[in-house]
Amino acid sequence: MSQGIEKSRNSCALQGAISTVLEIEGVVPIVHSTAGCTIQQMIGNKVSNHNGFDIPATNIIEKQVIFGGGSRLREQIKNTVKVIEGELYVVLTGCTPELVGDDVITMTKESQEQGESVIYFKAPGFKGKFHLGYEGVVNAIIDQLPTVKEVNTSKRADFVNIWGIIPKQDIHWQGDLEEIKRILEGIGLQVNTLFGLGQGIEAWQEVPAAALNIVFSKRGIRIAENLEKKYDTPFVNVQAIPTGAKDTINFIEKITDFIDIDRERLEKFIHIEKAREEYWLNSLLNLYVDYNFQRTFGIVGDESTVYSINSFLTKTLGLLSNVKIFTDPMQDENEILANNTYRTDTLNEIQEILREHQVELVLGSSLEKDICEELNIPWQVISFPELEKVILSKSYGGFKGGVRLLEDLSTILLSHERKLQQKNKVNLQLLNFVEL
Amino acid sequence: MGAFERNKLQGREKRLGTLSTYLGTAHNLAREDDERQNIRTFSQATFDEVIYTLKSLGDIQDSVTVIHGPSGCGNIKLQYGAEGSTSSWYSTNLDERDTILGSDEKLRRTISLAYQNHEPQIIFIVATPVVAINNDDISAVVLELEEELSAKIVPIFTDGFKSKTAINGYDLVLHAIGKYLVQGGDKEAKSDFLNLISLSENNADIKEVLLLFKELGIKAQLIPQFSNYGAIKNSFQAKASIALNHDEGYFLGSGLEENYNVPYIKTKVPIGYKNTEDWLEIVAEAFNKQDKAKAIIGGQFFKKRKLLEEAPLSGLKIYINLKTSRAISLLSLIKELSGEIVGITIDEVDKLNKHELENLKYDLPVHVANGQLFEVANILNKIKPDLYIGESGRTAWVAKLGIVPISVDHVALYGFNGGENLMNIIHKAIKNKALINDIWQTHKLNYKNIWLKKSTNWYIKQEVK
Repeated sequence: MSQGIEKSRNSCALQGAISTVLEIEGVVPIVHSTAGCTIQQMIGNKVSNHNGFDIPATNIIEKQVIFGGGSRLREQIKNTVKVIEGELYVVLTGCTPELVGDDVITMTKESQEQGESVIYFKAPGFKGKFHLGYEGVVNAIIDQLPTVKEVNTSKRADFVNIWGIIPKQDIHWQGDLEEIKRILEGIGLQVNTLFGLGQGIEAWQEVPAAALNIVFSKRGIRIAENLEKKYDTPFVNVQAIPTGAKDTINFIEKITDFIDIDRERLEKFIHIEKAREEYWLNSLLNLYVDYNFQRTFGIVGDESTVYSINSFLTKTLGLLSNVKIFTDPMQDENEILANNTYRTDTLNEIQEILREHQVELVLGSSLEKDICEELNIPWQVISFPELEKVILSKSYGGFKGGVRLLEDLSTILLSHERKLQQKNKVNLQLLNFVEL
Repeated sequence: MGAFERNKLQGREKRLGTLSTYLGTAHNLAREDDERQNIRTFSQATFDEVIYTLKSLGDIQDSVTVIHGPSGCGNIKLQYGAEGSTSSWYSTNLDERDTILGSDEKLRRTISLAYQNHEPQIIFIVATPVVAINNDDISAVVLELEEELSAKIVPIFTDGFKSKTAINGYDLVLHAIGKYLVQGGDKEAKSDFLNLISLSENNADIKEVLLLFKELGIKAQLIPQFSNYGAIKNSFQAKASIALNHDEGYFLGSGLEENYNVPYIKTKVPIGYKNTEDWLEIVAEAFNKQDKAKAIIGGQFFKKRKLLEEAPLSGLKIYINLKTSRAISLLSLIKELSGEIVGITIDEVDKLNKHELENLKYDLPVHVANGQLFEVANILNKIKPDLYIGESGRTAWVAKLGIVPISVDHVALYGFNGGENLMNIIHKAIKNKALINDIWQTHKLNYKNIWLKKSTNWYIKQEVK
């Protein structure tokens, strides 16, 4: 049974579905729920092509709660396609219509019969969190797109789809997709990132044509399984976005198990990229040693984000991982977590765990700021929510992301250390008996 | 029955004839039947009472908010936290099982958890559509836990669908505060301070007003924003109450008057010279500080004359989309600065503010909508103003129509510096339109042309009872 949570960072399925859909160009959500649902999420999305108030929503009222909201939804769908430009409209239902039992399937079908490209996904918040909204609406589009649009099923051997990177919940999603694309194109593949810049319905129509689906988190597995069943496309689960050269090279090698790649081109690409990281690591060495960058650390975030950053910090930067806290919902009821690994999204538990594990550095979200200030240790934001910095295309993924993380983390460690020195100086002056 | 005694509050429409959908003119509003409700057959996302409730509770010191519903219903608190709201929040995190089997045990446990971690003086419980539909019993849990915990537990019966307007949330909050937190003793024992009721004003506006009170020598105590249990509890002892925005704060003001004989002084939002002068005089009178008010107004004379003579907005067509009373007061400031107002969109109209619009010396187009930017786009596309003054999140988009957006959420419009502050951002916005023009050239609104050409009220219908 779920428990009450302090400062939840996982929102709900409806808000996950809305955020996901909005990052596909030409796709319009039609939210069927009470008035505030959409705005609860959107008001925080300061970096977006949408302000929230531009999203079609039925804003159902008491009458529709009592007598059903089906006809209100019918009217809203009919009018949305007349007012809002779109290539695909996705009806998303929230808690209230699901409790009332509105027949969204029939309403959707009716508009399809009128020749409109309308599909649906039921996303009541009581069914799950943001992640479920992503996974569910992606599968809904995969399942229902062929009924309203043509899809291309002729496979292309060098073409891959990317899954499991959740728009907005993965705070660097846009930059991560760009870097993954750059890397895979660097070894000669064609990449369908499906979300963000330049990704519209055409990209989704090409999904069945991929030779391989690459899954970067648990949230992509059901999507990839669905595609395997539907279109016989194999998938590889790499579990997390690789950060830094070591994991990125492993990732590339894993892809070569599935797709034939020009070995010479691949090695040349890897060589250049790896040399870059080596160069910057060497440049950082003085700081690393002089300011004692080697810390014990705790890391907080979605499981996949924790894996990717944790791996880079321990295997490349030589830091010492004391505790891992996964904040995304568990998918397997019988999950057994390794030592010093926890799963919780309630703030005071997270703080308690960090206190107990004697960490000298925290990588987490902006919500970990308070505990780090209490413990007087530096912290770096790697997971949702990032409430202070604006993120456009930044990424800690791949070859370039590793260097970026080195840059950001060093800045934080350095400035923390300097502040400490200054504080010590003040303390010294207080202790010093010399008459001034 | 006194305002605070009722167990539950009716929706604002039933109490005040609130309209959240209207298209016409200020003067024609008088002819609208209060009982008649308009609805939209196409609508876009908007605020609701749960959001307004969460907004207004975020800065009550030593309080924690428990949002009783699925975890998404409190998501906006992340944003409010980022903007500086200090109180923590919990979600009862209802799942499917809870929606079937009931959620009172979870509510009980979450309140206890919140209490253990923070030991706050007040725990607010904010209900959501899911618990309202399932009719889960909140009151029983409150009664039981109040015995156990030494905190005031205040349930707020938001449901998100009985009222069409978000401002109903403020009424619900003030009703709950009045009912559970204001504790009257001797009704006649008054102290020499003023209740300054504020629900949504930004810090900059509040600061301007507090500085005026300081100059007047009046002790002003903010409630409920930035207050604490003690201040709310003792609010019945004030010499008078005023609300910074009558539309939002009237319920507490008139409730304190009705139940505790605290006179409620109705004022217009103090934006613009004339409005601020009037406001100052009315407030000063209640505390016998007329001389001081006169001196303050006199001291502004030259600054005011200079700005008015400059007529800095002359030749500019301006559209306003703001909260109702804020918009109406801003009209006066824009006129003072010689701007031409070509229309306004306001969140709602009701008995509290209708007369302000009807009494305007000039008529003007009025659109009543909370959000509904598709209608606003339709209007703007036809009348093509030079400037658009609006709120955070729903202003920048007008750049795509080639209109200069001015967002005033973080600007102090209240008081005598409002004109200068507003002109400061408008001057800059007009002086360098590089980004706005580029956006206009490269981005298009995603409304169909056929819609932009239709009449604006195409999707507005009279509600069938």
